[in-house]
Amino acid sequence: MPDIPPSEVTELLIALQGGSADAMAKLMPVVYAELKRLAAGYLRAERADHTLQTTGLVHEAYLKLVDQKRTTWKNRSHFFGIAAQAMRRILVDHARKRSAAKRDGGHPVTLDDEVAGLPADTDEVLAVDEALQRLSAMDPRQSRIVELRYFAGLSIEPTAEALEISPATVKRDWTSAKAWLQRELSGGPEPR
Amino acid sequence: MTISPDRWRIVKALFDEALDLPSEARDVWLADATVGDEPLRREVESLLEALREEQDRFERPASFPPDGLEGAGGTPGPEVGSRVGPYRLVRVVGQGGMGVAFEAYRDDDHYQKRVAIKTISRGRDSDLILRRFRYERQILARLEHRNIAGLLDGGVTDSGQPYFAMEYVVGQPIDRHCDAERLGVRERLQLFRQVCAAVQYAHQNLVIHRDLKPSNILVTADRTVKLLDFGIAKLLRDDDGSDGEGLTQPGVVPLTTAYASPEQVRGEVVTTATDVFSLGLVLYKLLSGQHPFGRDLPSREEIRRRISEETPPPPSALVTTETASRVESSGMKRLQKSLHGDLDSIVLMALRKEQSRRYGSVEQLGEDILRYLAGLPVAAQADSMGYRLGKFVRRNRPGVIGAAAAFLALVAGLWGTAWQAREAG
Repeated sequence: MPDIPPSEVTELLIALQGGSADAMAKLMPVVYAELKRLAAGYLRAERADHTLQTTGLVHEAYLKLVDQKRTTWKNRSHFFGIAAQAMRRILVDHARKRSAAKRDGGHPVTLDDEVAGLPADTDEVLAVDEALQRLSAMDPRQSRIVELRYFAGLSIEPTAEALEISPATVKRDWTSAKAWLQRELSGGPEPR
Repeated sequence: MTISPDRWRIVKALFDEALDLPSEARDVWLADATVGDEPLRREVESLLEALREEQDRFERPASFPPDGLEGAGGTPGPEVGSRVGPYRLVRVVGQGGMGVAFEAYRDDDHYQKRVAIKTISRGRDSDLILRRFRYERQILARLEHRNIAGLLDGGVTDSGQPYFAMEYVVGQPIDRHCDAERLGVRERLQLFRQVCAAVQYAHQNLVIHRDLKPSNILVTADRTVKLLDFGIAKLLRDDDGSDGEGLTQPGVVPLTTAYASPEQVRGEVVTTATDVFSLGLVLYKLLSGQHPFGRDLPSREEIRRRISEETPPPPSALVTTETASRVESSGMKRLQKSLHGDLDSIVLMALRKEQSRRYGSVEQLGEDILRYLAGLPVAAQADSMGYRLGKFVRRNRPGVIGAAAAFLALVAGLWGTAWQAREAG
């Protein structure tokens, strides 16, 4: 992974706010690589007494990659927006590998943090990702809200900041998105 | 189903508006608003229905399982279908950093008993864990309490991994249970008292839990609390004499230290007061819906700093409309009001940084909650005269009013008598 110094990511974020599309193209791979590296590190350590939460990773990547003294809350919001997209890709890739391993007769694993008998995460991650692609055709901003909330684990306020909309709008759209996802994922007859 | 963006905007607008109405008024209103467009009505109706089913399913963000981004590494542990000691593994029910948990049955000719088997991940010192287990098993096996999932057995798998056999519990983590059932404040406190009773019992048997958190506290369908993993954290602790899941090792700190106590964060000696602190955090979460140190996405370092340094705000201060909506018949104002005062004080007393200034025992914490439920003065409050008097009056309102009236009558009578005496004199 190219080791990009915080100054450069910070520059890119500032350029992004100035409307540079090029900056976005350069930022995404860096953020993606850093998040993936962080996640892999924690997972390898085998010490986490919990399922690895994405929120902590996103925040940690931010602290690591960005020079906070030179950035504003807007830069931070943009960063979270990018990180959420990257996180979604990492989670989906991971879930795909998992379910492939399961099909190949590898050791079957339900992805749950506790012995609480909750449903497996792998299929859920893939199903949400797939449904989101359809939601974004209907309402791109709403699908971004789900991305930030579900894939990056952000709460209402930072989600609102990342999208530069009001928390009330986030709440409303999040509620109807949850209902829509529930309906889509509860397995009515669905042409594939 | 995908519909056009314009159509979806209309559906959403109707859906939002319907949610603002009391639920019994929605059907009529919706039929009216969608007259002539039956598919539209069905669309909105099915979303409202889906929201009722959703039960915060998507509030739990996506996460990684803890065993390797590039697929599980290392030698595989025992698999479903295989045997571990006398148990046959039938299903994976969970996976955490500690290892994998299975549903299993004791495979005897005589009887079949359902158990949970937890295998411990590699990378830990198996011999050490087993030595500790042998040393502790008598103590742990003695913990028989209806609110504690019993530890039944332990040993090593064929491939050398330690495992524990525990009572199998079907339940939901306590915080999720309370929200899913929309329990009110009093019901939440009643459940929490069961937790206190179990922890207190364990403390009397000289066992500290060390890892109390909502996901270790399950509630079964008949609303019985079951605590998991009693004493397990001690078996798995690092061998540098300090406590808790590598908390003191730089670089391998687990992401979630959110329910650790200041002394655990600092790697100091763990006592029963450690469990008091963690219980304080659990109660905080149950009452306010929030974690006191969890605001604005703290890093692990930051959470640890806050746990050891920051004075938490009272739970009532962190109530939001969102969290209040999960508590029965509580708007935000109302929930704030019911937490403000005694419940704030109880929680904050459990969360004091210095062990000696917390409740002296879990029993005292449980008793204070009982006193609150009974309308008695709680110990956590500063013991001012005005406070006690206020409580006394509220508890005995009719009696107090009667006594006050009698007192006034007496004064009036005396004054009258004195006046008459003077008149006469």
